[in-house]
Amino acid sequence: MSIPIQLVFDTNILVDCLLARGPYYAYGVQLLDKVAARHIEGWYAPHSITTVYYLAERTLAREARNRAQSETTARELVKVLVTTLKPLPQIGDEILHLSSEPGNDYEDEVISYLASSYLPNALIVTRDKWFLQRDGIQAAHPKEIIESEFKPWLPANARVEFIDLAAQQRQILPAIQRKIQRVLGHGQYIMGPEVAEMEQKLAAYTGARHCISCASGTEALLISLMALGIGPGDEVITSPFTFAATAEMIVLAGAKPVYVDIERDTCLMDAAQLEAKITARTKAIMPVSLYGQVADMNAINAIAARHGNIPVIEDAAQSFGASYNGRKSCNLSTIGCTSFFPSKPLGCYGDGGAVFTNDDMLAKAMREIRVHGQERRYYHTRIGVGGRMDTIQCAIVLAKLERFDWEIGRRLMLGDQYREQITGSGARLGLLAVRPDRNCVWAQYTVFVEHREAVQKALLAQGIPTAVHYPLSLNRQPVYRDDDSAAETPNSHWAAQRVMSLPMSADLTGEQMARVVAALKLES
Amino acid sequence: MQAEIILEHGQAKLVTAVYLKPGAPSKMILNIKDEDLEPSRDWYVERHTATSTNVDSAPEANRSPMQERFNQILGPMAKRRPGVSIGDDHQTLMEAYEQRLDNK
Repeated sequence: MSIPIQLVFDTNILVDCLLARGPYYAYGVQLLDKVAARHIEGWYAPHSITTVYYLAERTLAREARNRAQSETTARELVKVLVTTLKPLPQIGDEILHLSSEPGNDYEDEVISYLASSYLPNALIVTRDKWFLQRDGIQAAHPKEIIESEFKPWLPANARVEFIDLAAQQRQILPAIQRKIQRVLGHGQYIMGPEVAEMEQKLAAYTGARHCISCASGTEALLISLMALGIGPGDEVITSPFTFAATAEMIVLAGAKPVYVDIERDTCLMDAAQLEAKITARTKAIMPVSLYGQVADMNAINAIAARHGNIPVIEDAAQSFGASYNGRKSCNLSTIGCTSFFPSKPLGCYGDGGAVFTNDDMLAKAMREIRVHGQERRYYHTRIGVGGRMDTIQCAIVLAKLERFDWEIGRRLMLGDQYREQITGSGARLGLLAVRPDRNCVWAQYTVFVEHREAVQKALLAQGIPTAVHYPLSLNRQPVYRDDDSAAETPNSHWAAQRVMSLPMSADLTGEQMARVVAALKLES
Repeated sequence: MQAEIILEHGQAKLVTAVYLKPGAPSKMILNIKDEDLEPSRDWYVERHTATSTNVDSAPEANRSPMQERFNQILGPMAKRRPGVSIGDDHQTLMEAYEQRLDNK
């Protein structure tokens, strides 16, 4: 979407469009074309559809030879509308929230209420003066909107969201509501049918034989370590430049994290330094697919194989959807672990995660560990955790999956555009390298910048939030402090002082990116 | 006789049905004081109602995939129609509801 306005079509305009009524119907149709081409969001109030249908059907019935023909035609026309536009979330009790001013049209008031409640910059497309003269709601005739090219309603320098989950939600709201409603209907909130459905779909997406959903990405790491039997006295090799959960779960399992430094240009585990860290106690290698790019898994897997098939666990919390040599992240090693934290490339609306494997025995173990080590109900054969993902969260992932391929395509394109625009702007920034044998799905668009705090402050003043992933490498964190390791991982320390993540999500618009880049040029 | 009518949503409606003999004049004039009139509720209404010359030709779908879809669904009924006021729509909607009730 490039125009940050949400058009809400009033009933009369919809009927004008369907039946080519009056001299200005084509302006309304042009707006519908823009919605269909995804240049702008288009919405309708669900109660309008009954009116639109009856008006279209009655008008056609007066012209048609038989009633059945007018009904069929009216239905087909309305189907085009409801597949082009999105329904505002109407519960039916809106009357409780409306003013009781005399003379107000109920239907119009509901449209106005829904638009202002759910949409950040709604513009009602209408020829009804009730809307056009009402304070507190933006409304215009389609002719006026087209001829002014939307300019009067464009927000001036609105804040750019770091991750625009609201814009995404507006695109998938009907699917989200349907899926949640289904769960509320069957009432199986734990291990309901959506859990298995999501696992099957994600396994198919990655190509892995097994997908086991779990309560979070952190839980996914713990379950995979437990399934591999990792415990006290063991070492797990990982990157020090990642979120704390990676080392935290290794320590929680009773093992010791051993850190391999990162490549300075990708911030990914440097496979060339890995072999030197392997000892007889090494029981797993855990590379992190940071920012949405996978580490050199072929090299890491080859080293692991040479040392007695050490299991490799990909921490793919940020990289679901990424590809490496034609294969998907999460299906590149012994186990892949991902997260559905809301801001992740594939996120739910709470906590969630999954583990992936092609190993049947490991899959069985991980399924059991997820449910308190139960082999069958109330029969516990191993130590486990309460690590299931809620059915409702799985339903949300399923709704988001319908749009996921499009989103990944957008992320790849936006990553390329950020690179081109930042390079072309002359901004003094370092850019992350993406290796030619893989892509990056840009969970965050991260750059290297000197004087980071000052740049962040200046960007924020212009309505552009940034974040730091991460400000301190794990071997310098108080709880995991290891001075010897810290001395051996200078690239991690270097990156921690310079990385800065810019706004990024599939719905980031060209205008928003241009604002970010212009601000970066000025401030870096 | 006198017939009672109510003006609502820009339209007149008889309070009780009046049936005319065949051939009796069906067009009556209603006199309303100018000071009682509100402006129309439709935007651009004056131009909406002055377009009957352009109707009946199929809407052009040049560069409009959406119009093309509408035309395809409408088939021979794809044509431009005169502007309709919000009051007209209200009347049509009432007609549709009445027809619906009649069918039940």
